[in-house]
Amino acid sequence: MALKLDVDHPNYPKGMEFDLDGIGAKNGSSVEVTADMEQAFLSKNGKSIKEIYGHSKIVKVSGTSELKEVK
Amino acid sequence: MPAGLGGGGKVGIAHETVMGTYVAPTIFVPILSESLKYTEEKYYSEQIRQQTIVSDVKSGYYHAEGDIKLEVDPTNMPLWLHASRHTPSFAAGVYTYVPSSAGSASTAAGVTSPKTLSITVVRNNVVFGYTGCTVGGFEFMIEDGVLKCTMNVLGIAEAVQATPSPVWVAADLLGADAHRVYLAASAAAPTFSAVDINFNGFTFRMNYNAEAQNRIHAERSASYVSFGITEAEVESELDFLDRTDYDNFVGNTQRAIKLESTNGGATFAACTSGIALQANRVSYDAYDIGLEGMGDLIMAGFTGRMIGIAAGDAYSIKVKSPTTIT
Repeated sequence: MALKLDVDHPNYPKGMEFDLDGIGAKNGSSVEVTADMEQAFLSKNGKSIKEIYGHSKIVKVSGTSELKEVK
Repeated sequence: MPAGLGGGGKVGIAHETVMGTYVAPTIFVPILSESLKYTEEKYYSEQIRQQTIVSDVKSGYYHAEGDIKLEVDPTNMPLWLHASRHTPSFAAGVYTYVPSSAGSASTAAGVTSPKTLSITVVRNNVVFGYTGCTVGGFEFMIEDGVLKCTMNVLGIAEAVQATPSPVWVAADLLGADAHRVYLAASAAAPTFSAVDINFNGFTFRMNYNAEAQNRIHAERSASYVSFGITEAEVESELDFLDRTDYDNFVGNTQRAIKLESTNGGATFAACTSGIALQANRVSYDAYDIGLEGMGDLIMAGFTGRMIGIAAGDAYSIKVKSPTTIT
């Protein structure tokens, strides 16, 4: 199962659109992250989605990364 | 780590539960610039010991202080206004802030009024966490047609924190088609009627004379931030057409002034998001008119000081915002 981001921000209305460092999401809903989106996020931020949002109170990260490790 | 650009930085804020205890940011605020800095007075020992250079140094008391400049956005403006010397209220979708002149000597009293902020600044991927922060002064101004605000921020401490997880919302800026200025006779609830179309610029500023207070408590960080006299002013320039307001200056006749800046230019009452800056009793401190040059328009420049008014407030700031403050 690909990475999934569930967004729930208590200060903003449901349906408000967010930019999660390059990934679009709506408050109160979830977004599935494709491998391309993960790669773009990593290129932009230098860190993985789990590293950036793994400890967030607003964005819950579940699933597993679809990025293949290059050795 | 390679050198970084300002554009890669970010600022996040959170209201604190306990004044001075760091809270990771949940609101991320686009800014134009910031200059928050660790401010310390070191102690240099001037012991007399057969030398003419100081012989030792001890770390001194410190606090954090600096300015944050941003484009006014009704989405996040209430969070800053809650963290200042105001009495906030919320009704019918509108946050209202009036000066809490009867109280709020400092941020030490607690976290309800005023709240304090944890402000997280990331500069070149390095995280600075400022705690116990309050806004000691606001300067709202129309610049290049856009309503902007410079805030003087004071905090009691700074420490490294975990990299924050940013959640950005779309900007809701207030541009040239958003603003209306009104003038009226001074009153606790002034009756504003026609829009005054002669203003060229508008500045609305409050200075709470905030100062970090260091007390003896086996730490170097500040204990709290105190407030002094509230000094509030309106400043502008407008086409000089008649003597009416010049005579008001000479005769010390007080006026009321309001700026409404709303999304789409609707009236504040009809808008979905916007801000209204209203001074209910303004005494002109200066009202300057001159013939500046052969090709120059004849303008009047004024500064007006806001003063208290019976059964009302010297000023109010109202914000229609989608944001919920808990």
